[in-house]
Amino acid sequence: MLPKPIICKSVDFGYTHSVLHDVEFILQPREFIAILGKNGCGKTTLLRLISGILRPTSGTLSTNPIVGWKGCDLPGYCPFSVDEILRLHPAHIRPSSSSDIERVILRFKLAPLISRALETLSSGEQHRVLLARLFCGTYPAIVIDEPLTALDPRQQEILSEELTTFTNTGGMVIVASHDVHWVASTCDRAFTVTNGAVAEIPVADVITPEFQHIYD
Amino acid sequence: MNKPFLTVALIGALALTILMGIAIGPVSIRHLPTESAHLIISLRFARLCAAAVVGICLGAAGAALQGALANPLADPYILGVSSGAGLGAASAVALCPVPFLPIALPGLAITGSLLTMGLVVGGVRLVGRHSPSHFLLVGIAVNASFSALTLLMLVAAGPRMNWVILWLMGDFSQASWPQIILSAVVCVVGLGGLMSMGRALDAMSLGDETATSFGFNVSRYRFWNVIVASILTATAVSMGGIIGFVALVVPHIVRLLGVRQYRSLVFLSGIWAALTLVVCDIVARSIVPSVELPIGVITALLGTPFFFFLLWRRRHVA
Repeated sequence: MLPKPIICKSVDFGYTHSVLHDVEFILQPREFIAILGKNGCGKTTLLRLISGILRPTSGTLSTNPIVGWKGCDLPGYCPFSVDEILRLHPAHIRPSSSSDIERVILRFKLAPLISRALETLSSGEQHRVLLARLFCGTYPAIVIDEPLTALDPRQQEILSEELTTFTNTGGMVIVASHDVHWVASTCDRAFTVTNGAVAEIPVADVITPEFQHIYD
Repeated sequence: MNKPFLTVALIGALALTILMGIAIGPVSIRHLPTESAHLIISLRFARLCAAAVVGICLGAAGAALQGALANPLADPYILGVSSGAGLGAASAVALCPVPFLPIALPGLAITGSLLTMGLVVGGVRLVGRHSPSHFLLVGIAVNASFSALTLLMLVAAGPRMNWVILWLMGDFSQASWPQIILSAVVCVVGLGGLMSMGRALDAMSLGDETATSFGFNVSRYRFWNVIVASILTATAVSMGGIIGFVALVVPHIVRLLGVRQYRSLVFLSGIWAALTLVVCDIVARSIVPSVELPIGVITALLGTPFFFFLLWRRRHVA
């Protein structure tokens, strides 16, 4: 399924206090987008808005009705097996073909875990399963909060390759990350969130010493 | 295990056990005059049907709540429904004249259950967050105050306290046909309601955010799951008293057989719990001659070791 562009116009959002204000951007299919900023700046909130998990307090946001979402937290109680989770998708999303799912299982090295319940796996393995699930359905866009968390270096590499292939075949990827070197080498566009304001910066700039000031 | 096979096998076993249950009992119906035999058959059949309906209500409610509250140890009683029923039953015995008790006791019990459910749901709405932990915390708080009020009513009931205690321990012998039929209707509607929310529960097991990204309104589904499961539990409690462990343990047994999708899990947990209670009822009235054991005692005694087994199986879970 091909993604629609994500168009954000004068979007404000707050829980009890304002978190994001006057957010404007247009994200296109085939783009790999990173969101950067210090802890608590509103990165996850922005991802939730883009994914339709939250609705803007004001402004207009046109996004894809269903996206592949992977948050930071692991599920509280999930009795399903790895195999069942890889096949668990929204009603409007067609699961990938069996051969594609087989390929994802091999890529993410899930074959030895396939019949185990998610809750019996280590946290790194659980994150791997939940990431692999995104490639087992025909999602138009994939949104991941902290994609590299808990993955070993080899798995980080595999995930980067899979996400890049996903954008090359027409999909859209939006991630929030603190790994500036990974963002510089992998992503096409970068946005920063500072004091509730969202701004685009050239991707190459994220590894400059000046950029580090956004974390002060 | 193959799902259709399991479904047919369980429903068949339930029907067969009910038929066996009519024949088994302290009095052999073979040597009785026809009229007495008919009477005993109808009495036994009524209580077996009551046990089956209570089982379906409790098993389905337990399975759905474990999903809706994202907690494998969630039990319908945790939301205060049993303490509300206890308070209703104790009030009936303390305040009503004896001739009215057969109607007043279940009536006030279900009123108490629904009242506590209203308080828990209202409390969660007041707090403003429909998260699983909020339901559990508000449930525990409401439970505590209602349990205290129940004890107060038990003191007020004086010598009639035994009625309440026996009823609280679980008993199908008082169930009347109008009550059984009414409960069966609630049971079927509630079971259908919970099953229709199965897809949402599947998605919710991946976390609230992921389920929302699937397009489900998680708060609404959690809210309605709690309401329907509580109504089923209240129905069960008003007919059979408080029968522990079944709702907690049975969904895990069904999961061990490989059924994890909530639509099937809710249905098969209901049937399995019905089978369990029918067997327990037969045991309760035939194990000790001329004495009927409270069914809640049997389910708790059987349930405790199984509960430990489940905890042991989860020892590797972080």
